[in-house]
Amino acid sequence: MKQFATTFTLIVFVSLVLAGCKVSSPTVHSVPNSQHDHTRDDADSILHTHETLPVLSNWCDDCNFGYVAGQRISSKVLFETLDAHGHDVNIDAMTCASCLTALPVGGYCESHRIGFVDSKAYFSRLTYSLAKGGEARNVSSLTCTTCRANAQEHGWCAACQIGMVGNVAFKNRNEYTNAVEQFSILKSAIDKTGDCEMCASAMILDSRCPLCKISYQDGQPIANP
Amino acid sequence: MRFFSHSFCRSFFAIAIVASAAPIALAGSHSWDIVEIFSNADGSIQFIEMMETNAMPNEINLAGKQVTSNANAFTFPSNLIPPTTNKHLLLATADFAALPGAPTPDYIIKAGFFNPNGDTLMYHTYDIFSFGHDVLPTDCINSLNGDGTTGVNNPENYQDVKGTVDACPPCPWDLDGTGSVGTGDLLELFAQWGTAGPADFDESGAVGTNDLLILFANWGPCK
Repeated sequence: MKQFATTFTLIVFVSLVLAGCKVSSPTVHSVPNSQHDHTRDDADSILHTHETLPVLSNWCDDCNFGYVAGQRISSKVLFETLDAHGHDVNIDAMTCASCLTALPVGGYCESHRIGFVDSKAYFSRLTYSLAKGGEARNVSSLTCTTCRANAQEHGWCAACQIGMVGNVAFKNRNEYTNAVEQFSILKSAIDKTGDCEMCASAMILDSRCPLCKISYQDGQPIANP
Repeated sequence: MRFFSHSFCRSFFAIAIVASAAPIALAGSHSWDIVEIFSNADGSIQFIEMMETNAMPNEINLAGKQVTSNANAFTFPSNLIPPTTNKHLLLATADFAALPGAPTPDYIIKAGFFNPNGDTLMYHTYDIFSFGHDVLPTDCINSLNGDGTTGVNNPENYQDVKGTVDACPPCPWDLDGTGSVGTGDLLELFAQWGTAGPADFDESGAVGTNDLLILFANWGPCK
């Protein structure tokens, strides 16, 4: 039996090689810790390929761009602001009453502008809404042409009952609608990075640009409070 | 014969690479807030205290990010060493650092970094701390907290060292307690001439010419 397993494994491996599958085909980068905003406990880098980059919402230092919701982002400041990954929280040390209420129910703390999904913290409404209801997909693997088209921006496929917001798929219509609102702000922020990266960051967080002294709400400039 | 498409193989190995990765501890920098500020009247003694307010252990990525006022900016030179859960950071002027009871600042900021009469402090775009005229106490003892309350200053640094400072050094020459050394104090000194009163600045046992010269040397507002 063991001999069969070994032989089978060998056959599969040889088949892959004969099929012309080169291990080096995907562009694989080692992303330095210091420039990536994500650290591993046991290594200095995260490996990714250009195929997994959009799905994982990662940043490539070698290429100087990253993806969130399938959207290519060339501003590291904006990418770090979005910080599209769940963050660990130490519940026992948490003091914010609003956060403590929001955390177990997957809610959003307005005072800290943090959303919680599966006990992880997300720092913007966009990344919270993406994490809450969505699942990042490899767009090229989508078989439905409507869904694939929707993934270029956003749209709801009546046949599949799936909404796409970028490369993120939603099954719940309300969560899809919420994500679309935030997605439009993301698109505006990406456009804004050409003028001012800090304004783009402030647009995402309903904050103020420390350089231009402009405040933003829902992606739009407002009078400074 | 090709058993697998090229794109399949690419995906296969890409997924294998990702799947083989160890669990990732994600770091960030969003959850630091400005929680307390302090200044004396002329801004020479100031501190800005920040705190990790969301119980997150890996909020370490501060390198390159700034704390700004309307007129000045400070850039964090490097990342922090975890854990950061509920930790404090202390940015302060050099004159603050020299005061008795002051915790060692984690970072030195320039004197007059913010305007005590009203300013907007920001940490990157992640936190805003604005205050108007006559909101920040400049009585040398009290500070302004992030929730808008005031109280005795309570700075804390990243090493969990706390303290309280008095930013107004003693002014023994202000004999009549007006906040400055002037004619009233001069008259008080003459009234104590030859005695061992409070005007015996040199502690010689009797108020005399030397004490008079010391008083003149400190003429004007207490610093």
